Amino acid sequence: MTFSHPRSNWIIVATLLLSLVLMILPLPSGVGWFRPQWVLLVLIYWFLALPNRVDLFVAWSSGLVLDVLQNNALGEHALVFTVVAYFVLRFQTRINFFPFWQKTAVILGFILLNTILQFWLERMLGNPVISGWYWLSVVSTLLFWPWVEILLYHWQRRFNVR
Amino acid sequence: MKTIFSKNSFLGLRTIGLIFLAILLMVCDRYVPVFSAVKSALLSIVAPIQYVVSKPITVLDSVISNIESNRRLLKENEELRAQQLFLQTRVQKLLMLEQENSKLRGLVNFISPRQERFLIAQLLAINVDDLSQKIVLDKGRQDEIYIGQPVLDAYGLIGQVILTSFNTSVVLMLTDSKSAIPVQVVRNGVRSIVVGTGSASSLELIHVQETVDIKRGDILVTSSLGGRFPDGYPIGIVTKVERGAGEHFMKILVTPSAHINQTRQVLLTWPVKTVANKVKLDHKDKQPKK
Repeated sequence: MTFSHPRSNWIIVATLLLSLVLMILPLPSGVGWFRPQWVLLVLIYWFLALPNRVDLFVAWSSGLVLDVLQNNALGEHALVFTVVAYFVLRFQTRINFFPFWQKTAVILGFILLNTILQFWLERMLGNPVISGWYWLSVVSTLLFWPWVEILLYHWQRRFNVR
Repeated sequence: MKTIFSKNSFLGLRTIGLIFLAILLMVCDRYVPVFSAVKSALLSIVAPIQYVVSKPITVLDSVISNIESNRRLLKENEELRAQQLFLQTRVQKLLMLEQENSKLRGLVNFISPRQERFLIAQLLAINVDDLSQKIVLDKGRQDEIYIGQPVLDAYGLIGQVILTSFNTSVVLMLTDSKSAIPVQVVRNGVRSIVVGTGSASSLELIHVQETVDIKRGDILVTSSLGGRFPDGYPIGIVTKVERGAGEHFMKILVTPSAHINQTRQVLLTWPVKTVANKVKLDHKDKQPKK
C-alpha cells in the first residue's frame, strides 16, 4: 500500500501553479505568439515521471483552471489536456526508455495533438484562429521541453518527490 | 509495487468520462445562463494567481517611476497644471450648457437625465489570452460592476464587461473579433455597427450599403440603440472607405480613439436609462386639452 507523501503533492502543485503563472505573464504584443504551453509541458513531465500520482484528474483540473484564467470556454483546455494525458499515460512506460531524439519526436507529437485539438475546438466554438502565427507555439513549446525536463528532474530529485 | 487495481486501470473509460464532463461544461457555459455565476465564483478563486502576477509588475513600475529625475517631474507638473486650467474653463462652459439644456428639455416636458456615475479601475498587468483582446480590472461585483457595463479611457470607449467575479472583472475590448457596438456618425447621424478585427489599430464598420453617406475623417460615437451603451462616447475615426465593384457593402476601416494597449487606468460608467420610455408615459398621462 502506498501512502501519500504530502510534500510531494505540494511540489507538484507548486510546479503547476508556476506554469499557470507563466501562462498569464504579460508579454509585449508581438511576442505573445511565442509563448510556450507551459502547463502542457509540466503536465507531460509529471505524467512520464510519476504516472501513479499525477493522473487524468490533475490534467482535467489544470485545464479547467487555465480556462478560467484565460476566460476561454469553460472545459476547453480540460478536454484537450485530458486527451493528451490519455495518450501519454498509456504509453508512459515505453516512452521513458526511448533514446533522446525519439522521445523528443514523441513529445512533438503530443504538442501537435494539443495544438491541433485546441485549434479545432476554438473553431467549433465560433472563434477561429485567423493568424498563422498560432502554430509558432508548437515550435517554442518544443524548444522549451528540454529545459522544463531538466529543471523538474532536478527538483524532483532534490525534494525527493515520489 | 502495483496492486491489482493500479491507479491507471480503466484509463480509457476514465478518459471518456472526463471528456464527457468537459463537453458538458462547455455546453453549460454557452447555453445555460446561470452558469456565469459558477464561472464568476471560479474566477474569484483563481484571482490570487492573477494578483501574484500583476502585483510585482505594478510595484516594479512604481519603483522605476520613483527614480525619475526631479527636473522632468517639475516640467510635467507645469504642463499638467496648464492643461488642468484649460480643462476647467471648458468645464465651466459645459456646466452652463447643461443647465441650458435641462431648461430646454423642461420646456418640452422631457425629463432631464441625472448625472452619470463614474468609477476608476486599474488594469491587472496580465495577458488574459494571446488569441483574444481582453483585459482584467481590479474592480468586481463588490463595487457594483455588472455584465455589459461600458468601459472607457480618457479618449474613447474601450469595451464592455463580460464577466465579473467578486473583486475582478474581465473586459472584452472593442478590437476583439467578437465585439460589435452600435455607432452613429457625428456629422449626419448615420447609424451602423462597428466590429473588431483582432488588430489593435483598426475596426470595421459592417453592412454599410454603397448609398450611405460616410467618408474618410468622419467621427463615430456610440449610439444608444440597443440600450447597452449611453450615446455620445467616441469610438473612432473613419480612415478608409472602399467601394468594391459589384460588392453590396462598402469596406470601411476605423481607427479607435481610445489608446488601446497603452492604458493602465480605465473608467467604468453607470449609464442612466434612456428617456424614451419616460416620454411615452408622459403622453399617456396627459389628457387632451379641450
